Amino acid sequence: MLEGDQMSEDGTPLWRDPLFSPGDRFPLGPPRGIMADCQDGPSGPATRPFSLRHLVAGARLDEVPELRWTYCHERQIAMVYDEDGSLTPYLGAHTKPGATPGDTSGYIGGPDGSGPGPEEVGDPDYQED
Amino acid sequence: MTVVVLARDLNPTADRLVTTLTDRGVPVFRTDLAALPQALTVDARFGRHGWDGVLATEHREVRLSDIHSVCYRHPSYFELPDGMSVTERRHASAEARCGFGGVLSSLDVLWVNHPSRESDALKPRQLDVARRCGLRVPDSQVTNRPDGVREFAKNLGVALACKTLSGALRAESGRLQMAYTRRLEPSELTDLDGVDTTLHFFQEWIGDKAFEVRATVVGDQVFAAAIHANSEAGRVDWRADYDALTYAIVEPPEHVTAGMRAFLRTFGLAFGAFDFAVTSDNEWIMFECNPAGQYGWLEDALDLPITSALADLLTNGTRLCSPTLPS
Repeated sequence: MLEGDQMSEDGTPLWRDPLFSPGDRFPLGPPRGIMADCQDGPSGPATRPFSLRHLVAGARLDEVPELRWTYCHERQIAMVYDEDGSLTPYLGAHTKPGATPGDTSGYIGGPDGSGPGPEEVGDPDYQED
Repeated sequence: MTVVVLARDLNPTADRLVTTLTDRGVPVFRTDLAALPQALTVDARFGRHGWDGVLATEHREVRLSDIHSVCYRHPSYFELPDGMSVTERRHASAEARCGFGGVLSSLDVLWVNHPSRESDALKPRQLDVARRCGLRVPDSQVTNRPDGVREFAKNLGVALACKTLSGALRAESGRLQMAYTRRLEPSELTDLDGVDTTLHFFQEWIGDKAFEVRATVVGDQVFAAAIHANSEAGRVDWRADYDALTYAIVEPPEHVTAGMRAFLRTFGLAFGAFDFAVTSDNEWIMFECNPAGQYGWLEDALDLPITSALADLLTNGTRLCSPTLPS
């Protein structure tokens, strides 16, 4: 289980649990990591939604480019580490709508700066497009 | 007078806004909801004058009565202490959501945007509101009937666009996957297996499309960018081929600008990113509005002062009235 990914007993993320829907009073974003365990492939023609035909595949979830960053509490913005270890604001990168798979500009890296967090690229229910 | 920014720690759009506000001397309190409850404390008290209290982190705090506006931009979700049981997590999560959301929602402040208003803006409802607001929208269908799709296509006499209703990004087989808009040729209508597995969204194909527009509306200000696609994939869905896109500032017709403003008022939104197709006759056909749409790449490409306008709105704007539906 990933940090912040609160699961019910049957493995359903709590934010998807109909009894605890985040949408009933104050919808909030889903927890981090919701997409990281999506290893299942297509089910088959009998149950595959038509609208999921012709998906365009992009980056592997475990191969998103690494970005070393930290959050500056003083300036309240993300800072990235340069090659020499110095920190610069991460203001230049912007997510493009629909974040083309593999194009992770704008949202790269996990919340602790240790590695990629593909869910940061966007997510199906709170898509930034 | 503080602007609260609710966003994940790694969010360049929020970074740029926070920097702009800070440079102007506007107090900003930024946090991700993942900070609650372990790195963000809430102490709210209700009295004769309503809710007041303090949100605090190790680094700063804000009194609820000092909050002027809230920018809500895809925050994460509460991160609860390790070791909780499932029942404890459910309980803690629900209590945090109702408590935090309930207190913040009750403040008499401007939200850009209030998450509940964003949740109201489902695509099918958007189409109806847009129509009522004087915007042209494509003929559309939501169905799980394959024969219904064929009937819809036959009646229209044009190709169909197959789109998703809930965003386009998916993760499957360990990869990110995009469900781009797809043009459905008549020959493909013989095999509609899977349409019956859930609801599907089809629209008339706009064959006379000259270019598309992403119009970002901040308060009453409109920043419209024409998007010219120079590849087949980009013409079907410009998100599919950024390398083939060029941009230009464009002025929407007056009725379109008025329609977008009315649309946002109807939903109680202060910000929206509208997508249009523009025909060779300069007819603007609205596809959808994303209440939290991206704009940074257009701001950079066309030198549009969208962040500045958003900072203006958050600093000087006032709470929106409750949404009402136009007659």
